[in-house]
Amino acid sequence: MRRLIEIDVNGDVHDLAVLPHDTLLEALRDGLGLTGTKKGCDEGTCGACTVLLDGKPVLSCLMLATDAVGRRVETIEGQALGDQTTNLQRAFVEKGAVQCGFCTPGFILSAKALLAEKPNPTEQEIKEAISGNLCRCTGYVKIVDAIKAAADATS
Amino acid sequence: MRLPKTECVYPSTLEEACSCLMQDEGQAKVIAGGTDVVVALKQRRLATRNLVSISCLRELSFISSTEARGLAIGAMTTLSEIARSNAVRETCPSLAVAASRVASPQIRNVGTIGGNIALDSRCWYYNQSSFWRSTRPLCFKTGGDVCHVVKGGKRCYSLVSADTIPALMVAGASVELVSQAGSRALPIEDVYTGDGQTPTTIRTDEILTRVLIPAPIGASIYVKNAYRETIDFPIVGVAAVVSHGSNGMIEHVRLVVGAATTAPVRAKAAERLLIGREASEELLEEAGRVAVKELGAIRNIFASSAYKRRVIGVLVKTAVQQAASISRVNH
Repeated sequence: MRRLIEIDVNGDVHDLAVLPHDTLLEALRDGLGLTGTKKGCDEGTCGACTVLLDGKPVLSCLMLATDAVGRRVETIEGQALGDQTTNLQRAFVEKGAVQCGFCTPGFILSAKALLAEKPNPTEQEIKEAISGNLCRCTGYVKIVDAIKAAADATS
Repeated sequence: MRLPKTECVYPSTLEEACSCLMQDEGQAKVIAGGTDVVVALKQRRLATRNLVSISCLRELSFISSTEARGLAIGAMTTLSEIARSNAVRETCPSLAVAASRVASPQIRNVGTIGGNIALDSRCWYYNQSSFWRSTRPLCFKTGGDVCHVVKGGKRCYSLVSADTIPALMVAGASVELVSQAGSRALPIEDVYTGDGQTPTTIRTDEILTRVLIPAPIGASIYVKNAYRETIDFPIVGVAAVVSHGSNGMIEHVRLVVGAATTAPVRAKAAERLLIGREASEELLEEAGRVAVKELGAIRNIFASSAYKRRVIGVLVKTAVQQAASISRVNH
């Protein structure tokens, strides 16, 4: 039996009819059409489904949709406004941190949370913050460079 | 992977939650952060179709000092909160370190200490989807009568692998379990049965509500060996607590080896070896050897037994070395 829930995604409050066993990932992608958040492993080991919940990175594939009620969800779609991109997004592109791009939304959100807490992170802090996001393409070096560059650009 | 058709209730009081757990003839199951339960449901390893979420029980999320100069931690406190907490870093450093080494940042932001303590046991056959497992007959843990992981095995050898367990054991922690029948406290080592099929003594109608840690004696540490620096469960995780006496020798020591066997093991013989002595290189090597011996049979699960035996020796030495050097500085 579907239940109507109110879910705050990127500042917009949506009414969504969900099953008790729907995950937040399914609600975002299939319910709201927000396909920027990716389904990678779907079992909590790759980080492609990372979204921010009240500002903190979480895995949406492991969260029940109903667990997001009353919380603030942020996805990759909420980052850029129209044609404007954020420092992080520009840095990722400029530094060559995007190849296939599948892991990128997850990385951007993990990085966003890091920079909100630590505007001038060390390389070690950056690596720890993204340690839950896997990338099969880049080898991570340019991703770390991009986050550093975004931090420098913001300060 | 879709979850199976499951109901989930969100009781707003502990009493209500205990009552909800009595539903469905003991099949109802607690879900906290969900980072283990959701995967288990996706892989069809859990029979329950009724979840009782304790995420609305805000009173279970806290870290506070006790009168006895120890710590009380609510079961719903996330691993991130524990890793960052100054109170935990000071009073139980092994726990702060262990919590910071669990999985990934995303999982630590949602995963709870209660969930980590009550985590289901693991092995490479069991922790797969039902489709994957269907290529072989059911194993002991899934209701069959064979073990695919230990040749000729007559019981379940799945491992209790959660990182915080050894850290809590060396600190002498206990847990509080609440049900409709009342509440009980249990030293943390009594939570683990050593039987992979039912790895914990937590009843299906019980909710783990808090963890109590006594005042610290000495310096504690947790060291972890895993395939990768992040995400992975430990292959071996060792926690140690060491304090020095006024004569400069080791006075108090506790050593726990986790993830290598069906329950975490207190390496008592290795501890006895170290008491009243100085933590020299040779003594620590011997302590490592003694610890490996007292663990008994170690199985080829997730890594070869030879590798694990080697790693246990190294980690015991590292853990005691690190705890001893901090203890010496503090003394």
